[in-house]
Amino acid sequence: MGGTTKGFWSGDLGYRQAAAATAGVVAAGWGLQFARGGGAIIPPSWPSNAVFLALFLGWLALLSRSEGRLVAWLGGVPFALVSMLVVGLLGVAGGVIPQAPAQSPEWARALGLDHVFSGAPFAVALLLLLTNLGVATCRRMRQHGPKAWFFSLNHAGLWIVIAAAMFGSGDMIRARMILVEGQAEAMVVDAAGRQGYLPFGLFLQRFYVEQYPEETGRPGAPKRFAAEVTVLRHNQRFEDVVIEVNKPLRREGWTLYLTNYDLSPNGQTNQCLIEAVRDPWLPAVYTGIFLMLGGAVAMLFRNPFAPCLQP
Amino acid sequence: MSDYFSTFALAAVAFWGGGLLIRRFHPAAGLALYSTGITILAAYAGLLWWQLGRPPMRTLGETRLLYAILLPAVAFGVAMRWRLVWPMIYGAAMAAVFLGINIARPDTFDKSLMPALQSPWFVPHVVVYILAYAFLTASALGAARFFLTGDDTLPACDHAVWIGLSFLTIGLLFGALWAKEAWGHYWTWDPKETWAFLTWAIYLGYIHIRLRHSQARSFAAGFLLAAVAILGTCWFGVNYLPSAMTSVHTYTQP
Repeated sequence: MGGTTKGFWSGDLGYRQAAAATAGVVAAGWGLQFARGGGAIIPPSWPSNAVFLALFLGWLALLSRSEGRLVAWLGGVPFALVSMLVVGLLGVAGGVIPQAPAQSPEWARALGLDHVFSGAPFAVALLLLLTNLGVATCRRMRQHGPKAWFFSLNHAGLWIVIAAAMFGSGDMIRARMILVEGQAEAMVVDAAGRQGYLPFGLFLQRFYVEQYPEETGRPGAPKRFAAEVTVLRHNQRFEDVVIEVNKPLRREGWTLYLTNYDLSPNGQTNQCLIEAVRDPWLPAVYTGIFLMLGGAVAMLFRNPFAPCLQP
Repeated sequence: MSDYFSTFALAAVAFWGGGLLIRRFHPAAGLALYSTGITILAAYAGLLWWQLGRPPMRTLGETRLLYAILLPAVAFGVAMRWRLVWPMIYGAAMAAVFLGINIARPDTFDKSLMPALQSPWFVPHVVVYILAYAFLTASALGAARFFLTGDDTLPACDHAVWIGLSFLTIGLLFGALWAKEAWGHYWTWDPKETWAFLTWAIYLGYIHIRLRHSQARSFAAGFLLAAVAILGTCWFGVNYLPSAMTSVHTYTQP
Protein backbone atom coordinates (compact mmCIF):
# COMPACT_ATOMS: atom_id res chain seq x y z
CA MET A 1 0.00 0.00 0.00
CA GLY A 2 2.89 2.33 0.82
CA GLY A 3 4.31 1.74 -2.65
CA THR A 4 0.98 2.61 -4.29
CA THR A 5 0.77 5.85 -2.33
CA LYS A 6 4.28 6.80 -3.42
CA GLY A 7 3.38 6.03 -7.01
CA PHE A 8 0.19 8.05 -6.68
CA TRP A 9 2.10 11.20 -5.78
CA SER A 10 5.30 10.64 -7.74
CA GLY A 11 3.65 10.19 -11.16
CA ASP A 12 1.73 12.81 -13.12
CA LEU A 13 -0.18 15.10 -10.79
CA GLY A 14 -3.72 15.74 -11.96
CA TYR A 15 -7.38 15.44 -11.06
CA ARG A 16 -7.10 12.35 -8.84
CA GLN A 17 -4.36 13.90 -6.71
CA ALA A 18 -6.29 17.17 -6.50
CA ALA A 19 -9.40 15.25 -5.44
CA ALA A 20 -7.45 13.31 -2.79
CA ALA A 21 -5.78 16.44 -1.40
CA THR A 22 -9.01 18.46 -1.37
CA ALA A 23 -11.02 15.64 0.18
CA GLY A 24 -8.36 15.24 2.89
CA VAL A 25 -8.27 18.93 3.75
CA VAL A 26 -12.06 19.33 3.78
CA ALA A 27 -12.43 16.17 5.89
CA ALA A 28 -9.94 17.71 8.33
CA GLY A 29 -12.12 20.82 8.32
CA TRP A 30 -15.11 18.67 9.21
CA GLY A 31 -13.12 16.93 11.94
CA LEU A 32 -12.23 20.33 13.35
CA GLN A 33 -15.87 21.33 13.27
CA PHE A 34 -16.92 18.19 15.17
CA ALA A 35 -14.07 18.57 17.66
CA ARG A 36 -15.22 22.11 18.42
CA GLY A 37 -18.77 20.96 19.03
CA GLY A 38 -20.23 22.13 15.75
CA GLY A 39 -20.71 25.91 15.89
CA ALA A 40 -19.65 28.59 13.46
CA ILE A 41 -15.96 29.39 13.18
CA ILE A 42 -14.91 32.64 14.82
CA PRO A 43 -12.93 34.62 12.25
CA PRO A 44 -9.79 36.35 13.56
CA SER A 45 -10.00 40.11 13.99
CA TRP A 46 -7.52 42.99 13.65
CA PRO A 47 -4.56 42.78 13.79
CA SER A 48 -4.20 38.99 13.69
CA ASN A 49 -6.31 38.66 10.53
CA ALA A 50 -3.98 41.12 8.75
CA VAL A 51 -0.94 39.14 9.98
CA PHE A 52 -2.46 35.85 8.75
CA LEU A 53 -3.32 37.39 5.41
CA ALA A 54 0.18 38.85 5.00
CA LEU A 55 1.76 35.48 5.87
CA PHE A 56 -0.58 33.68 3.46
CA LEU A 57 0.18 36.13 0.66
CA GLY A 58 3.93 35.92 1.35
CA TRP A 59 3.78 32.11 1.30
CA LEU A 60 1.89 32.16 -2.01
CA ALA A 61 4.37 34.60 -3.56
CA LEU A 62 7.33 32.50 -2.41
CA LEU A 63 5.71 29.25 -3.45
CA SER A 64 4.84 30.51 -6.89
CA ARG A 65 8.51 31.30 -7.63
CA SER A 66 9.23 27.60 -7.69
CA GLU A 67 9.22 25.94 -11.09
CA GLY A 68 8.58 22.51 -9.56
CA ARG A 69 5.82 20.18 -10.69
CA LEU A 70 4.09 20.27 -7.29
CA VAL A 71 3.59 24.04 -7.48
CA ALA A 72 2.51 23.85 -11.11
CA TRP A 73 -0.12 21.31 -10.02
CA LEU A 74 -1.19 23.44 -7.04
CA GLY A 75 -1.81 26.42 -9.35
CA GLY A 76 -3.17 24.38 -12.24
CA VAL A 77 -6.57 23.89 -13.86
CA PRO A 78 -7.28 20.41 -12.36
CA PHE A 79 -6.77 21.73 -8.85
CA ALA A 80 -8.91 24.80 -9.68
CA LEU A 81 -11.78 22.68 -10.98
CA VAL A 82 -11.68 20.24 -8.07
CA SER A 83 -11.59 22.95 -5.41
CA MET A 84 -14.38 24.82 -7.22
CA LEU A 85 -16.39 21.60 -7.31
CA VAL A 86 -16.00 21.15 -3.55
CA VAL A 87 -16.94 24.79 -2.85
CA GLY A 88 -19.86 24.27 -5.25
CA LEU A 89 -21.08 21.07 -3.59
CA LEU A 90 -21.02 22.72 -0.18
CA GLY A 91 -22.79 25.67 -1.82
CA VAL A 92 -25.55 23.39 -3.15
CA ALA A 93 -26.03 22.00 0.37
CA GLY A 94 -26.25 25.54 1.70
CA GLY A 95 -28.57 26.56 -1.14
CA VAL A 96 -31.06 23.75 -0.53
CA ILE A 97 -31.02 23.27 3.25
CA PRO A 98 -32.49 26.20 5.20
CA GLN A 99 -29.58 28.05 6.77
CA ALA A 100 -31.17 28.38 10.19
CA PRO A 101 -30.94 25.71 12.91
CA ALA A 102 -34.62 25.98 13.79
CA GLN A 103 -35.76 25.21 10.24
CA SER A 104 -33.26 22.58 9.09
CA PRO A 105 -33.60 18.83 9.66
CA GLU A 106 -31.82 16.92 12.42
CA TRP A 107 -29.27 15.20 10.15
CA ALA A 108 -28.31 18.54 8.58
CA ARG A 109 -27.74 20.06 12.00
CA ALA A 110 -25.59 17.07 13.00
CA LEU A 111 -23.36 17.61 9.95
CA GLY A 112 -23.21 21.35 10.43
CA LEU A 113 -25.09 21.84 7.14
CA ASP A 114 -27.48 24.29 8.77
CA HIS A 115 -24.66 26.86 8.71
CA VAL A 116 -22.55 25.81 5.72
CA PHE A 117 -21.12 29.25 4.98
CA SER A 118 -19.84 29.93 8.48
CA GLY A 119 -18.53 26.40 9.02
CA ALA A 120 -14.97 25.09 8.98
CA PRO A 121 -15.32 22.78 5.90
CA PHE A 122 -16.41 25.69 3.69
CA ALA A 123 -13.66 27.93 5.09
CA VAL A 124 -10.89 25.40 4.35
CA ALA A 125 -12.35 24.70 0.90
CA LEU A 126 -12.21 28.44 0.17
CA LEU A 127 -8.62 28.57 1.47
CA LEU A 128 -7.70 25.78 -0.95
CA LEU A 129 -9.35 27.70 -3.79
CA LEU A 130 -7.47 30.84 -2.72
CA THR A 131 -4.19 28.89 -2.69
CA ASN A 132 -4.80 27.62 -6.21
CA LEU A 133 -5.97 31.00 -7.48
CA GLY A 134 -3.10 32.81 -5.74
CA VAL A 135 -0.39 30.54 -7.15
CA ALA A 136 -1.93 30.69 -10.63
CA THR A 137 -2.18 34.50 -10.52
CA CYS A 138 1.37 35.04 -9.16
CA ARG A 139 2.81 32.74 -11.81
CA ARG A 140 0.93 34.50 -14.58
CA MET A 141 1.73 38.00 -13.32
CA ARG A 142 5.40 37.37 -13.93
CA GLN A 143 4.63 37.09 -17.62
CA HIS A 144 3.97 40.13 -19.76
CA GLY A 145 1.63 41.18 -22.50
CA PRO A 146 -2.13 41.75 -22.80
CA LYS A 147 -3.00 38.10 -22.20
CA ALA A 148 -1.26 38.08 -18.81
CA TRP A 149 -2.93 41.39 -17.92
CA PHE A 150 -6.32 40.09 -18.83
CA PHE A 151 -5.77 36.91 -16.84
CA SER A 152 -4.55 38.90 -13.80
CA LEU A 153 -7.46 41.33 -13.86
CA ASN A 154 -10.00 38.54 -13.46
CA HIS A 155 -8.03 36.16 -11.26
CA ALA A 156 -6.38 38.71 -8.96
CA GLY A 157 -9.73 40.49 -8.68
CA LEU A 158 -11.47 37.33 -7.55
CA TRP A 159 -8.62 36.51 -5.15
CA ILE A 160 -8.85 39.95 -3.56
CA VAL A 161 -12.64 39.75 -3.22
CA ILE A 162 -12.59 36.34 -1.51
CA ALA A 163 -9.53 37.05 0.65
CA ALA A 164 -10.70 40.49 1.80
CA ALA A 165 -14.24 39.25 2.49
CA MET A 166 -12.96 36.20 4.38
CA PHE A 167 -10.11 37.70 6.38
CA GLY A 168 -12.00 40.96 6.92
CA SER A 169 -15.16 39.31 8.23
CA GLY A 170 -13.75 39.31 11.77
CA ASP A 171 -13.61 43.11 11.77
CA MET A 172 -17.09 43.60 10.46
CA ILE A 173 -19.71 44.82 12.90
CA ARG A 174 -23.39 44.50 12.04
CA ALA A 175 -25.49 45.74 14.91
CA ARG A 176 -28.98 47.05 15.34
CA MET A 177 -30.41 50.06 17.04
CA ILE A 178 -34.01 50.97 17.71
CA LEU A 179 -34.95 54.60 17.25
CA VAL A 180 -38.05 55.95 18.97
CA GLU A 181 -39.58 59.27 17.94
CA GLY A 182 -38.55 62.07 20.27
CA GLN A 183 -35.67 60.10 21.81
CA ALA A 184 -31.89 60.09 21.31
CA GLU A 185 -29.91 56.88 20.99
CA ALA A 186 -26.26 55.90 20.47
CA MET A 187 -26.25 52.29 21.68
CA VAL A 188 -26.15 49.39 19.24
CA VAL A 189 -26.59 45.65 19.91
CA ASP A 190 -25.12 42.92 17.68
CA ALA A 191 -26.62 39.51 16.88
CA ALA A 192 -24.84 37.94 19.87
CA GLY A 193 -26.38 40.52 22.21
CA ARG A 194 -23.16 42.51 22.75
CA GLN A 195 -23.64 46.23 23.28
CA GLY A 196 -21.57 49.07 21.93
CA TYR A 197 -21.80 52.78 21.18
CA LEU A 198 -21.63 54.77 17.99
CA PRO A 199 -19.23 57.75 18.05
CA PHE A 200 -22.33 59.96 17.64
CA GLY A 201 -25.96 59.93 18.72
CA LEU A 202 -29.14 59.88 16.66
CA PHE A 203 -32.31 61.71 17.58
CA LEU A 204 -35.40 60.54 15.71
CA GLN A 205 -37.47 63.58 14.76
CA ARG A 206 -40.09 61.75 12.73
CA PHE A 207 -40.64 58.37 11.17
CA TYR A 208 -43.20 57.89 8.46
CA VAL A 209 -44.51 55.20 6.17
CA GLU A 210 -46.17 55.93 2.87
CA GLN A 211 -48.53 53.15 1.87
CA TYR A 212 -49.93 52.28 -1.50
CA PRO A 213 -53.45 53.64 -1.84
CA GLU A 214 -56.49 51.37 -2.04
CA GLU A 215 -56.93 51.49 -5.81
CA THR A 216 -53.46 50.07 -6.55
CA GLY A 217 -52.43 46.44 -6.82
CA ARG A 218 -51.13 46.18 -3.28
CA PRO A 219 -53.15 48.42 -0.98
CA GLY A 220 -51.52 48.98 2.36
CA ALA A 221 -48.12 47.66 1.26
CA PRO A 222 -45.31 50.02 2.18
CA LYS A 223 -44.32 52.26 -0.71
CA ARG A 224 -41.64 54.23 1.03
CA PHE A 225 -40.49 54.62 4.59
CA ALA A 226 -38.12 57.19 5.91
CA ALA A 227 -36.62 58.39 9.19
CA GLU A 228 -35.88 62.06 9.76
CA VAL A 229 -33.03 62.09 12.27
CA THR A 230 -30.65 64.59 13.80
CA VAL A 231 -27.02 63.52 14.18
CA LEU A 232 -25.68 64.60 17.57
CA ARG A 233 -21.99 65.14 18.22
CA HIS A 234 -20.00 66.68 21.06
CA ASN A 235 -19.70 70.45 20.69
CA GLN A 236 -20.87 70.38 17.11
CA ARG A 237 -23.76 71.78 15.18
CA PHE A 238 -26.79 69.47 14.85
CA GLU A 239 -27.13 67.85 11.49
CA ASP A 240 -30.56 66.93 10.07
CA VAL A 241 -30.64 63.98 7.69
CA VAL A 242 -33.15 61.54 6.20
CA ILE A 243 -32.45 57.79 6.17
CA GLU A 244 -34.39 55.67 3.68
CA VAL A 245 -34.23 52.20 2.22
CA ASN A 246 -31.50 52.25 -0.44
CA LYS A 247 -30.33 55.60 0.94
CA PRO A 248 -28.16 54.79 3.97
CA LEU A 249 -26.35 57.37 6.10
CA ARG A 250 -22.54 57.25 6.14
CA ARG A 251 -20.73 58.90 9.04
CA GLU A 252 -17.32 58.27 10.66
CA GLY A 253 -16.79 54.76 9.31
CA TRP A 254 -20.32 53.63 10.10
CA THR A 255 -23.12 53.10 7.62
CA LEU A 256 -26.66 53.21 8.95
CA TYR A 257 -29.43 51.43 7.06
CA LEU A 258 -33.12 51.77 7.65
CA THR A 259 -34.20 48.12 7.70
CA ASN A 260 -37.57 47.76 9.35
CA TYR A 261 -40.23 49.27 11.51
CA ASP A 262 -42.93 48.13 13.84
CA LEU A 263 -46.38 48.96 12.56
CA SER A 264 -49.11 49.12 15.14
CA PRO A 265 -52.65 47.95 14.19
CA ASN A 266 -53.84 51.49 13.41
CA GLY A 267 -51.11 51.83 10.80
CA GLN A 268 -49.11 54.34 12.79
CA THR A 269 -45.62 53.84 14.08
CA ASN A 270 -43.21 55.95 16.04
CA GLN A 271 -40.16 53.73 15.95
CA CYS A 272 -37.88 52.10 13.42
CA LEU A 273 -35.02 49.66 13.23
CA ILE A 274 -31.61 50.79 12.05
CA GLU A 275 -28.80 48.47 11.08
CA ALA A 276 -25.40 49.96 11.89
CA VAL A 277 -22.56 48.45 9.85
CA ARG A 278 -18.83 48.95 10.16
CA ASP A 279 -16.71 47.16 7.59
CA PRO A 280 -13.14 48.51 7.43
CA TRP A 281 -12.18 45.98 4.72
CA LEU A 282 -14.84 47.19 2.31
CA PRO A 283 -12.39 49.27 0.17
CA ALA A 284 -10.30 46.12 -0.37
CA VAL A 285 -13.38 44.12 -1.39
CA TYR A 286 -14.45 46.92 -3.73
CA THR A 287 -10.96 47.02 -5.26
CA GLY A 288 -11.38 43.34 -6.13
CA ILE A 289 -14.91 43.91 -7.41
CA PHE A 290 -13.78 46.72 -9.73
CA LEU A 291 -10.85 44.65 -11.02
CA MET A 292 -13.32 41.85 -11.80
CA LEU A 293 -15.71 44.32 -13.46
CA GLY A 294 -12.83 45.53 -15.63
CA GLY A 295 -11.96 41.91 -16.39
CA ALA A 296 -15.57 41.09 -17.30
CA VAL A 297 -15.79 44.05 -19.68
CA ALA A 298 -12.43 43.03 -21.18
CA MET A 299 -13.87 39.53 -21.65
CA LEU A 300 -16.43 40.94 -24.07
CA PHE A 301 -13.61 42.12 -26.32
CA ARG A 302 -11.21 39.20 -25.94
CA ASN A 303 -13.13 36.11 -26.83
CA PRO A 304 -10.84 33.12 -27.36
CA PHE A 305 -13.76 31.20 -28.85
CA ALA A 306 -14.79 33.93 -31.30
CA PRO A 307 -12.55 32.92 -34.26
CA CYS A 308 -14.48 29.66 -34.64
CA LEU A 309 -17.68 31.54 -35.32
CA GLN A 310 -16.87 34.18 -37.90
CA PRO A 311 -19.64 34.07 -40.54
CA MET B 1 -51.81 56.44 -21.35
CA SER B 2 -52.11 52.76 -20.42
CA ASP B 3 -55.24 52.61 -22.58
CA TYR B 4 -53.05 52.83 -25.66
CA PHE B 5 -50.53 50.29 -24.43
CA SER B 6 -51.88 47.36 -26.47
CA THR B 7 -51.73 49.40 -29.66
CA PHE B 8 -48.12 50.42 -29.14
CA ALA B 9 -47.10 46.93 -27.99
CA LEU B 10 -48.73 45.17 -30.96
CA ALA B 11 -47.22 47.69 -33.37
CA ALA B 12 -43.76 47.09 -31.90
CA VAL B 13 -44.11 43.29 -32.10
CA ALA B 14 -45.35 43.59 -35.71
CA PHE B 15 -42.32 45.70 -36.64
CA TRP B 16 -39.93 43.24 -34.99
CA GLY B 17 -41.52 40.27 -36.73
CA GLY B 18 -41.64 42.08 -40.05
CA GLY B 19 -38.05 43.23 -39.69
CA LEU B 20 -36.81 39.71 -38.93
CA LEU B 21 -38.69 38.31 -41.94
CA ILE B 22 -37.65 41.01 -44.41
CA ARG B 23 -34.05 40.86 -43.17
CA ARG B 24 -33.64 37.60 -45.12
CA PHE B 25 -34.26 39.40 -48.43
CA HIS B 26 -33.13 42.92 -47.64
CA PRO B 27 -30.90 43.15 -44.54
CA ALA B 28 -30.84 46.96 -44.25
CA ALA B 29 -34.62 47.30 -44.51
CA GLY B 30 -35.07 44.50 -41.95
CA LEU B 31 -32.77 46.21 -39.46
CA ALA B 32 -34.57 49.52 -40.03
CA LEU B 33 -37.97 47.93 -39.31
CA TYR B 34 -36.61 46.14 -36.24
CA SER B 35 -35.23 49.37 -34.77
CA THR B 36 -38.50 51.18 -35.59
CA GLY B 37 -40.26 48.65 -33.33
CA ILE B 38 -37.88 49.60 -30.50
CA THR B 39 -38.43 53.31 -31.19
CA ILE B 40 -42.22 52.91 -30.99
CA LEU B 41 -41.99 51.38 -27.51
CA ALA B 42 -39.40 53.94 -26.41
CA ALA B 43 -41.78 56.69 -27.56
CA TYR B 44 -44.55 55.12 -25.49
CA ALA B 45 -42.25 55.04 -22.43
CA GLY B 46 -41.36 58.68 -23.06
CA LEU B 47 -45.03 59.68 -23.20
CA LEU B 48 -45.72 57.63 -20.06
CA TRP B 49 -42.85 59.40 -18.30
CA TRP B 50 -44.28 62.78 -19.34
CA GLN B 51 -47.76 61.77 -18.16
CA LEU B 52 -46.64 60.30 -14.82
CA GLY B 53 -44.13 63.05 -14.11
CA ARG B 54 -41.54 60.46 -13.03
CA PRO B 55 -39.38 57.86 -14.82
CA PRO B 56 -41.45 54.74 -15.58
CA MET B 57 -39.18 52.40 -13.62
CA ARG B 58 -41.08 51.85 -10.41
CA THR B 59 -43.78 49.26 -10.95
CA LEU B 60 -43.65 45.67 -12.17
CA GLY B 61 -45.48 46.57 -15.37
CA GLU B 62 -43.17 49.50 -16.04
CA THR B 63 -40.15 47.30 -15.45
CA ARG B 64 -41.45 44.77 -17.97
CA LEU B 65 -42.00 47.59 -20.45
CA LEU B 66 -38.39 48.60 -19.88
CA TYR B 67 -37.13 45.04 -20.53
CA ALA B 68 -39.21 44.98 -23.67
CA ILE B 69 -37.39 48.09 -24.91
CA LEU B 70 -33.91 47.25 -23.68
CA LEU B 71 -33.75 43.56 -24.64
CA PRO B 72 -34.34 44.07 -28.35
CA ALA B 73 -32.20 47.24 -28.24
CA VAL B 74 -29.24 45.45 -26.68
CA ALA B 75 -29.85 42.37 -28.81
CA PHE B 76 -29.69 44.71 -31.81
CA GLY B 77 -26.34 46.07 -30.60
CA VAL B 78 -25.02 42.59 -29.82
CA ALA B 79 -26.19 41.36 -33.21
CA MET B 80 -24.29 44.20 -34.88
CA ARG B 81 -21.18 43.71 -32.76
CA TRP B 82 -20.85 39.93 -33.21
CA ARG B 83 -22.77 39.60 -36.49
CA LEU B 84 -25.28 37.17 -35.05
CA VAL B 85 -28.97 37.02 -35.88
CA TRP B 86 -30.36 34.86 -33.11
CA PRO B 87 -30.03 37.48 -30.31
CA MET B 88 -32.46 39.67 -32.26
CA ILE B 89 -34.98 36.84 -32.56
CA TYR B 90 -34.48 35.92 -28.92
CA GLY B 91 -34.72 39.56 -27.77
CA ALA B 92 -37.92 40.16 -29.73
CA ALA B 93 -39.48 36.92 -28.47
CA MET B 94 -38.65 37.67 -24.81
CA ALA B 95 -39.88 41.25 -25.21
CA ALA B 96 -43.12 40.00 -26.79
CA VAL B 97 -43.64 37.73 -23.76
CA PHE B 98 -43.13 40.66 -21.37
CA LEU B 99 -45.51 42.84 -23.38
CA GLY B 100 -48.03 40.00 -23.46
CA ILE B 101 -47.94 39.71 -19.67
CA ASN B 102 -48.55 43.45 -19.41
CA ILE B 103 -51.54 43.22 -21.77
CA ALA B 104 -52.96 40.22 -19.93
CA ARG B 105 -52.42 41.75 -16.49
CA PRO B 106 -53.02 45.50 -16.83
CA ASP B 107 -53.22 45.83 -13.04
CA THR B 108 -49.47 45.15 -12.80
CA PHE B 109 -48.89 48.59 -14.28
CA ASP B 110 -49.94 49.96 -10.92
CA LYS B 111 -48.41 47.19 -8.85
CA SER B 112 -45.53 48.97 -7.28
CA LEU B 113 -42.15 47.67 -6.26
CA MET B 114 -41.23 47.25 -2.62
CA PRO B 115 -38.91 49.98 -1.28
CA ALA B 116 -35.75 47.80 -1.46
CA LEU B 117 -36.22 47.41 -5.22
CA GLN B 118 -36.60 51.14 -5.84
CA SER B 119 -32.98 51.84 -6.67
CA PRO B 120 -30.91 53.12 -9.59
CA TRP B 121 -29.21 49.69 -9.53
CA PHE B 122 -32.42 47.91 -10.43
CA VAL B 123 -32.36 48.49 -14.17
CA PRO B 124 -28.65 47.83 -14.91
CA HIS B 125 -28.59 44.76 -12.64
CA VAL B 126 -31.68 43.21 -14.19
CA VAL B 127 -30.89 44.11 -17.79
CA VAL B 128 -27.37 42.68 -17.58
CA TYR B 129 -28.75 39.53 -15.93
CA ILE B 130 -31.43 39.08 -18.59
CA LEU B 131 -28.72 39.38 -21.24
CA ALA B 132 -26.55 36.82 -19.47
CA TYR B 133 -29.48 34.43 -19.16
CA ALA B 134 -30.30 34.93 -22.83
CA PHE B 135 -26.81 33.89 -23.90
CA LEU B 136 -26.48 31.06 -21.38
CA THR B 137 -29.87 29.49 -22.14
CA ALA B 138 -28.98 29.77 -25.83
CA SER B 139 -25.87 27.68 -25.09
CA ALA B 140 -28.13 25.03 -23.53
CA LEU B 141 -30.26 24.98 -26.68
CA GLY B 142 -27.05 24.46 -28.65
CA ALA B 143 -26.07 21.59 -26.36
CA ALA B 144 -29.49 19.97 -26.79
CA ARG B 145 -29.09 20.26 -30.55
CA PHE B 146 -25.65 18.63 -30.28
CA PHE B 147 -27.28 15.55 -28.74
CA LEU B 148 -30.39 15.54 -30.96
CA THR B 149 -28.86 16.13 -34.37
CA GLY B 150 -25.16 15.46 -33.85
CA ASP B 151 -24.35 18.91 -35.30
CA ASP B 152 -21.13 20.46 -34.06
CA THR B 153 -22.76 23.27 -32.12
CA LEU B 154 -20.05 23.46 -29.46
CA PRO B 155 -18.09 26.38 -31.00
CA ALA B 156 -21.28 28.46 -30.97
CA CYS B 157 -22.02 27.30 -27.40
CA ASP B 158 -18.52 28.28 -26.26
CA HIS B 159 -18.96 31.69 -27.84
CA ALA B 160 -22.35 32.21 -26.16
CA VAL B 161 -21.08 31.04 -22.75
CA TRP B 162 -18.09 33.36 -22.93
CA ILE B 163 -20.28 36.41 -23.63
CA GLY B 164 -22.95 35.22 -21.17
CA LEU B 165 -20.38 34.71 -18.43
CA SER B 166 -19.04 38.26 -18.88
CA PHE B 167 -22.55 39.65 -18.47
CA LEU B 168 -23.24 37.26 -15.59
CA THR B 169 -20.10 38.48 -13.79
CA ILE B 170 -21.12 42.11 -14.28
CA GLY B 171 -24.68 41.38 -13.10
CA LEU B 172 -23.49 39.46 -10.05
CA LEU B 173 -21.11 42.25 -9.02
CA PHE B 174 -23.75 44.95 -9.64
CA GLY B 175 -25.99 42.89 -7.39
CA ALA B 176 -23.34 42.85 -4.67
CA LEU B 177 -22.83 46.62 -4.90
CA TRP B 178 -26.60 47.16 -4.77
CA ALA B 179 -27.04 44.77 -1.84
CA LYS B 180 -24.51 46.86 0.11
CA GLU B 181 -26.69 49.94 -0.46
CA ALA B 182 -30.02 48.26 0.24
CA TRP B 183 -29.33 45.60 2.88
CA GLY B 184 -26.03 46.63 4.46
CA HIS B 185 -23.84 43.81 3.17
CA TYR B 186 -22.59 42.87 -0.28
CA TRP B 187 -22.98 39.15 0.26
CA THR B 188 -25.03 37.25 2.85
CA TRP B 189 -25.40 33.75 1.29
CA ASP B 190 -29.12 34.25 1.00
CA PRO B 191 -30.52 31.30 -1.07
CA LYS B 192 -30.96 33.49 -4.15
CA GLU B 193 -27.38 34.73 -3.81
CA THR B 194 -26.08 31.21 -3.22
CA TRP B 195 -27.70 29.96 -6.43
CA ALA B 196 -26.46 33.03 -8.30
CA PHE B 197 -22.96 32.14 -7.13
CA LEU B 198 -23.42 28.48 -8.14
CA THR B 199 -24.65 29.53 -11.58
CA TRP B 200 -21.63 31.76 -12.02
CA ALA B 201 -19.26 29.05 -10.74
CA ILE B 202 -20.58 26.33 -13.05
CA TYR B 203 -20.16 28.45 -16.18
CA LEU B 204 -16.73 29.49 -14.95
CA GLY B 205 -15.97 25.77 -14.64
CA TYR B 206 -17.25 25.21 -18.18
CA ILE B 207 -14.88 27.83 -19.61
CA HIS B 208 -11.91 26.25 -17.82
CA ILE B 209 -12.89 22.75 -18.97
CA ARG B 210 -13.24 23.91 -22.57
CA LEU B 211 -9.93 25.77 -22.57
CA ARG B 212 -8.14 22.73 -21.11
CA HIS B 213 -9.99 19.74 -22.57
CA SER B 214 -11.35 20.88 -25.93
CA GLN B 215 -11.74 17.29 -27.16
CA ALA B 216 -14.27 16.11 -24.55
CA ARG B 217 -17.29 17.19 -26.60
CA SER B 218 -20.13 15.07 -25.22
CA PHE B 219 -18.98 15.82 -21.70
CA ALA B 220 -19.03 19.55 -22.45
CA ALA B 221 -22.52 19.41 -23.96
CA GLY B 222 -23.82 17.38 -21.01
CA PHE B 223 -22.15 19.86 -18.66
CA LEU B 224 -24.07 22.71 -20.32
CA LEU B 225 -27.39 20.93 -19.74
CA ALA B 226 -26.50 20.45 -16.05
CA ALA B 227 -25.45 24.11 -15.89
CA VAL B 228 -28.76 25.37 -17.24
CA ALA B 229 -30.56 23.35 -14.55
CA ILE B 230 -28.58 25.33 -11.95
CA LEU B 231 -29.41 28.55 -13.81
CA GLY B 232 -33.11 27.63 -13.82
CA THR B 233 -32.98 26.91 -10.11
CA CYS B 234 -31.51 30.37 -9.54
CA TRP B 235 -33.95 32.14 -11.84
CA PHE B 236 -37.25 30.67 -10.62
CA GLY B 237 -36.65 27.34 -8.86
CA VAL B 238 -35.20 28.82 -5.69
CA ASN B 239 -38.65 29.89 -4.46
CA TYR B 240 -39.67 26.21 -4.23
CA LEU B 241 -36.64 24.98 -2.26
CA PRO B 242 -36.75 24.36 1.49
CA SER B 243 -34.17 27.12 1.91
CA ALA B 244 -36.51 29.75 0.41
CA MET B 245 -38.22 30.32 3.74
CA THR B 246 -35.15 32.24 4.90
CA SER B 247 -34.76 34.32 1.71
CA VAL B 248 -35.29 38.06 1.37
CA HIS B 249 -35.36 37.79 -2.43
CA THR B 250 -38.65 35.91 -2.99
CA TYR B 251 -40.51 38.90 -4.41
CA THR B 252 -43.25 36.79 -5.97
CA GLN B 253 -44.78 35.82 -2.65
CA PRO B 254 -47.58 38.10 -1.41
